[in-house]
Amino acid sequence: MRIDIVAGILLSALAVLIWYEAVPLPVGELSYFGSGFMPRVCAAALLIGGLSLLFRGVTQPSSEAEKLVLAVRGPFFVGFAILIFALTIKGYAVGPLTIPQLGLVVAGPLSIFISGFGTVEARPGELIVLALGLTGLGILVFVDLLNVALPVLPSFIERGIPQSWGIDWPPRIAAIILLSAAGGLAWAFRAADNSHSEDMKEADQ
Amino acid sequence: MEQLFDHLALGFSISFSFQNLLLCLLGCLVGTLIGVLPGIGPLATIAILLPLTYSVDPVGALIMLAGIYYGAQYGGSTAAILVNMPGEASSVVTTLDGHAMAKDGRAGKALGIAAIGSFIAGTFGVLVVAALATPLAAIALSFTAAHFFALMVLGLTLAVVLAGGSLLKAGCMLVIGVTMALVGADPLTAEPRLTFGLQTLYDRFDLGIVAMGLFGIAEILRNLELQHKRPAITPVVGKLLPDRKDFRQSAGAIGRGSVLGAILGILPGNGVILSSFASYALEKRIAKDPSRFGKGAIEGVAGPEAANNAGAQTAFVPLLTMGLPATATMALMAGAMTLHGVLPGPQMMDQHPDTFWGVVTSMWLGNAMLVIINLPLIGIWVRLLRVPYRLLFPAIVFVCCVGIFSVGLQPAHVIQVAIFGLAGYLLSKLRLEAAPLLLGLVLGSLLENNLRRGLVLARGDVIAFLSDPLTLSLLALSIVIIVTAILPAVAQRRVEIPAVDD
Repeated sequence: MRIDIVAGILLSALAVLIWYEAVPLPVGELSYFGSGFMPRVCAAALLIGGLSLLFRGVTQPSSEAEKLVLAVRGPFFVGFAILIFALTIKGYAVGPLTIPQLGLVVAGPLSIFISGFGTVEARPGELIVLALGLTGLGILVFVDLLNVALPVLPSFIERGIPQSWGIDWPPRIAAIILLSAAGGLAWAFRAADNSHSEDMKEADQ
Repeated sequence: MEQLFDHLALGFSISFSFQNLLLCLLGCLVGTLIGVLPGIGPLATIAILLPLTYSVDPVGALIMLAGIYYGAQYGGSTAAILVNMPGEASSVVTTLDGHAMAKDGRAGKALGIAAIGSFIAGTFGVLVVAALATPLAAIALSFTAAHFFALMVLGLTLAVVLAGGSLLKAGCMLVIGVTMALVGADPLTAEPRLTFGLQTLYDRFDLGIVAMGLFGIAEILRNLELQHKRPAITPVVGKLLPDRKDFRQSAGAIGRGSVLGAILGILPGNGVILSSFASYALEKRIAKDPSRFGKGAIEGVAGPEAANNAGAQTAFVPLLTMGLPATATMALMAGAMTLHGVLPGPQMMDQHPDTFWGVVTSMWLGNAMLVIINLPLIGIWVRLLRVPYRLLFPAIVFVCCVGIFSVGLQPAHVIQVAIFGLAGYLLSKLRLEAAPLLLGLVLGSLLENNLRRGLVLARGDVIAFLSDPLTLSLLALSIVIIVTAILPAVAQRRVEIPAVDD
């Protein structure tokens, strides 16, 4: 599909949608126009623009026309990763399904790991280390340093923590565990990968 | 004149507090950190980092934002010189001679002159902003609603025309932005408008979320398509400080660039980018030996860098004096200010003089920070450039998620970021620039309010509305600009302006 045709259709459809939603709103008079005035003006302008684009797309010589090429992998994994973060960080109810709060310790690594697959160059081992380490660092920076009230731990763990631990230490301990896990895994992967050291050296540079 | 220095002194007394210095430094550091990443320009950087400033008090937050803004600008230049990959359109020109200098073993000098030239131009830019602020705000205060409406129309017209790319598409995006601003509770009756029955829409579109999606996430998705060969990074060799000969060679270029940038920066649209192109063309034209350009002429780095920094400074003028952001980046700054309870505009100077002058002086401070701190840190930025993109982008996605969630603790906000990210990716594939949309989103409500108030005052009589000479001439000028832009000869030239996100 030519991009101008797609853009023209999309914009015209959007214009129709806006007009449809603006129909019940009062237009008023020029001396005091109502809330429906501007939406109608915008919808009309957008419809004219969309149709002109569509016209241009249909009539332009194929040498000038650009074809629409969309990548799937990147948008899919990155979009999915962000969605997972949103659903798990504080819990979410989707229809009959209720996801409990899993906190940053789960949402963080999941989102980093999943989004990492947005490129064909993804290497799972490397991503696990990044996911754990970065989340640990994130907890220290956002929760400890900037005092943002992010849920760090899953709710079922949070409930089991004795009050006497205070509110500062549980996230801190979680961060330290994540960071050491990342460090340990990095070390283990490196040891295991020593035979393929060419690869790793390249990655380090 | 004396008043000017009083104001600047007041500003410095604010921006030089320990906390604010620290925030400015922090802003510069994180701004450079993200801005240096190839393919991520100042707009995306600010969109990604905006949530970081939410927990700070208004003045501090604005000062930190200014730091992020300049850090992002300078980060872009660094990437341009060292890897020949401009992080932003305004440093495209810098790659020409900057990278040539780097390959020639003069990377240090190129980075040095870019920072110093930027600092000098920035100082000039701040003085221009400070000098223009009081008189322009006084004019703006005498404006009627009709004047403001006409001025906004002119500004948006210029922004669309100067932005490069398809005029038709930019116009459509602007209209979408304006419509998005109308969505939500009606300002007069609080009744839902264009909400399709959704509570999320009733709460209006959040500028931070829209910007993070359309610019931050979409930018990542766009970059993911490029084949990421390991960028060839030129090692930083040689002294960072240019010697006397270099200074003599580039002094004129810095001076001319500063003036050019300061003038063009005030223009809506991409004045900042235009100014760096214009400065390069100017330097090449007046050079004794134009053939040196493209092969490592230091003026070719100093001039455009000075111009884009002076422009980055004076781009604040329309926002701070009229309350009208002229570029997408400024729209984002405007959104951030409003969020912190500071309404940018002519009244700001009277109501919050400390904030106003604190911000103006912190611009200068941000520039100074870059020379003092970022130059020595060049080694760290270079190391950052070596991190492969496959590891960088998940990290940025993570920062975006945590950032936007930390603002409202609402999972729905995070989902919206994903939606706008995917939408932004589709838009960019359709060559629909998202920058005008952001401008429309910020200005939409103002546009409607001022038009309504203007028409109320004219009793609904369009002739009376247009009979005011200033309103009429501003609107006529807008029409003239559109017509000229459509003329074939000009349209041809517009194609040469790079279409970019600013």
